[in-house]
Amino acid sequence: MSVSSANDRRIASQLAKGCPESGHIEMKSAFFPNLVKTVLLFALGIVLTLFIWQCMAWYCNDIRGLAMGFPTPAESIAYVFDHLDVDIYGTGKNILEHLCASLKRLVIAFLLASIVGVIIGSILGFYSKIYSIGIVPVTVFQSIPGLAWVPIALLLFGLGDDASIFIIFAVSCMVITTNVAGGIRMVPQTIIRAAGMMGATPSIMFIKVLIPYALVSIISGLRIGLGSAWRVLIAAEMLIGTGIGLGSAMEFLRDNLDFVGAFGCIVVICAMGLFIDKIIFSSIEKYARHKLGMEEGY
Amino acid sequence: MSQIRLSEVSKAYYTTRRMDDARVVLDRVNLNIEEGEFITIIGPSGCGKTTILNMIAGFEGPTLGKVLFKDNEIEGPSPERGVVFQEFSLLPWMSVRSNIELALECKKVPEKDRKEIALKALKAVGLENFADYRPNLLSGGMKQRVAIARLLAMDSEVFLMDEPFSALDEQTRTKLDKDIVKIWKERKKTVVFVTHSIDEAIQLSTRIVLLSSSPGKVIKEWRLDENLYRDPMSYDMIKLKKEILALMPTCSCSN
Repeated sequence: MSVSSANDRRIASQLAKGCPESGHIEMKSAFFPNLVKTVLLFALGIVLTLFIWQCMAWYCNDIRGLAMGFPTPAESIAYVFDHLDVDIYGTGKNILEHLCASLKRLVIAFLLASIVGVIIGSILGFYSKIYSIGIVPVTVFQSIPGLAWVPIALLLFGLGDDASIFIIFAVSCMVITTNVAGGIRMVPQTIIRAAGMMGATPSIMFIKVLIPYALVSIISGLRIGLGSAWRVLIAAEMLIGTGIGLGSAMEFLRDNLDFVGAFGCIVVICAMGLFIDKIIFSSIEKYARHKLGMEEGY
Repeated sequence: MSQIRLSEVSKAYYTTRRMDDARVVLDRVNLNIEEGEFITIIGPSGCGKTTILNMIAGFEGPTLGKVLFKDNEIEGPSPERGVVFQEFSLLPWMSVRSNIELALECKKVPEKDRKEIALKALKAVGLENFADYRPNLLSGGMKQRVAIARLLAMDSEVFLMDEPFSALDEQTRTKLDKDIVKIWKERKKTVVFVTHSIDEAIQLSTRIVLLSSSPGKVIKEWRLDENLYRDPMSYDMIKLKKEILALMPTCSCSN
C-alpha cells in the first residue's frame, strides 16, 4: 500500500509523460470537481444525521411503542413546508415570520455584541496594565450560563424583546471580547518591535498592524460568539415569552402537545444555525486566512 | 562626540518567576561607536550581544548606566535606528512594496512619493521584480533583503542587524554579506552587526568587538582598514581568526 496521496496520483499521470523544461505542470482546474466533492460529502453527513434521528423515532415508536409518537424526520420536514405560509395554530404567525422575528433579535444583539466586544477586547489587548484588571469582570460574566442571565435581564428590562436581546448580547459579547483581546496579545514581539522601529504611532500600530494580525482570532471569536448567541436565543425566547419567534413557537406547540410542530421548529433552527456557521462564517474565516498570508504557498 | 555610546552599561534579567535571582548579562560595558563605522559584535551564545543591540534600538533599557544616541539618552525605538531582525519581521498580509510603504507612511512621507522610494529601495537589493509578491512566497534570503530595503527606504542613520543572515544557507549568506558591505560603502551608514560567525565578522567590519560570556565585558577590540582585502584564506585573515578564536570563551552560559 503506497504512501502516495491522491494529490500525488493526480499529478502522476501528467508527470509520467516527462518533466517539462519550465518545471511546471499545467493541468485542468479542479475547482468544480472539488466543490462537488465537498457538497456531496456534506450531503452525506446530513443524511447520516437524519438517519440517527430516524433511529430514535423507530426506537420510541416501534420498540417502546410510545403512544404519543416520536416525530420522524419526514413528518417534521413536511410540517415545516406546510406551515411556510400557514399560521402555526394559536400563534397567529407562520414559520417564516417566526424565523424572521428570531433572526431580527439575533442580528441586533450580535451586532451590538460585536461592536462592543471588538472595542473592549482591543483596549484590553493593547494595554497590558488594563488587561489584568479588566479581564476579571469579562471572565466572571462569561461564566454565567445563558439562562442564568434571565433574572438579570428581567430586572433590567422587564418582560419583552429588550430582555431577550440583552441575554443574547451578554452571552456573545464576553466571548468576542476574550478572543479579540487574546488575538491582539498573541501578536509576536518581533512584529511589534518592527512597527516600533519604523516609527509607527499608536493608531497606525493598532489599525495597520495589530488588528490585521489578530483578524483570524477576531473572526474566530465572532463565529463562536454567534454560535453561543444562536443557542441562547431560542431558550431566551422560551423563558421570556415574547409571543413571536421560533423559541416561543416551540414553547406554544409543546404546551399543546404538538410534538411534530415542535420538531419542525427544531429542524428550522438547526438548518439556520448550520447555514450561518458553515456557509457564512467558514468562508469568511478561510478568506481571511488566505488574505492575511497565513497559508504557506498559494 | 560619538554617535552611539554605551556608558558603564550593566544589564541583568530575572531567571525565576519568583524574581529572587537575576543573572547579570552585561557588566559595566563601555562602547563608543562613531558615525560611519561598521562594527561587529561577536561572542559566545548568551553573552549579551543581542541585548546591546536591543538597547541601542530602544526596545530595552539598561539596568545601570546609560545608552546614548547623539548624546541623548535613548527612550524608545525610532526610525533613525533601523533594525533588521533575526526572525522574519515583514507583515505577512501585505505585499513587499506595501511593507516598505508602511515604513514611509510612519515617517509621514507624502503618499505620491512612497511608491517611488519603495521601488528604489527594492532595486538597491535587486528585488524590484518582486514588489507585489507577498512575503510567504519569498525565500528566507529574499525576505531579509526586503528588510534591508525597508531600512534603505527609511534612510535610517544607523543600521542595527541582529544575526540577520544566520537562518540562511551559506551561499545566500555570502552574497548578502557582500551586498551589505556595498550598501554601507555607498551610503556611509553606521552599521552595528551582531553575529556569532567570526568569518562574517572578519569579512564585513572595520571594527570587531569581542564580548565575554556573561557577565559580559568587552574582552578585546580589533580595527581593520576598510580597504583591506579580505581574502578569508590569506595569511593575515587566518591569523586574525586564530587570535579571535583563542580569546573566545569556550563555553556558553548553560551551567
